[in-house]
Amino acid sequence: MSIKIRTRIENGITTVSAMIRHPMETGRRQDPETGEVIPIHHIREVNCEVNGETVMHAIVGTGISKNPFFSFHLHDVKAGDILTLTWLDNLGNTDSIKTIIK
Amino acid sequence: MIKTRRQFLRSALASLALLKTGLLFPISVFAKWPESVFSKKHPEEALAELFGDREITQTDKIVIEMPPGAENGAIVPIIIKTDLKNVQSISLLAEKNPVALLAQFTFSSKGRGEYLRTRIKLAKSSHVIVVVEADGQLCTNKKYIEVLKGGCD
Repeated sequence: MSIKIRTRIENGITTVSAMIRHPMETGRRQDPETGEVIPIHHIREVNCEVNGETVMHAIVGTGISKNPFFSFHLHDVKAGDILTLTWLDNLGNTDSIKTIIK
Repeated sequence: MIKTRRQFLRSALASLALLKTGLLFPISVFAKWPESVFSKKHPEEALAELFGDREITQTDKIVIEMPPGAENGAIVPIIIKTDLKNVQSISLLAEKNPVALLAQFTFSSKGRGEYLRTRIKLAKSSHVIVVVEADGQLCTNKKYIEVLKGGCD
């Protein structure tokens, strides 16, 4: 489970694009070989901070596709600001990535 | 109390291990996930849970970009754009999914939320409903999409 992140500043607006590697299992899918139900396993929350201040927070259910992709806009941030993106899933797994906005 | 060098080393190593597994990650930004909203099948129920009995107004100022049809409902790209000012949150719901609420995004003033792009799962041909909270007002728009193979298993 890893995170890929990209930022782009254009006309004063910063676009953040993030992709998280995660199975996003709904808990309704059967293993094609064993026929057993694959346990629910999905991201519940995504948090994005700029210089330590939360700018975007998402609550997420199983209706977001496998390997979630999110892209959104930020204003009033500048090159050199530090962006942190963190996720947490229903099993308590968490991961975080830091990048410098450019 | 840490008395000996050995005890100190042991606890220091334990802290390092915790850091590595992420257990010491400041969990304060989390633990807000509302289980009850994500147990609602019908959009009206989920919206009532999210916003109570507040009025939600239909608007064309929320633009939903989605393909008209999806062969596979497991990965449906969606873009939301809006001219509404001071967007505080964007909620995405599916009319006929096992769980109505797909996700809700909350923005601070730096994250203005006038643009959002993600990929969603859809069980059936149905409307996707978007609710934007902007300037304290709730606005909504929806778009229909044909789904050939359900993507919610």
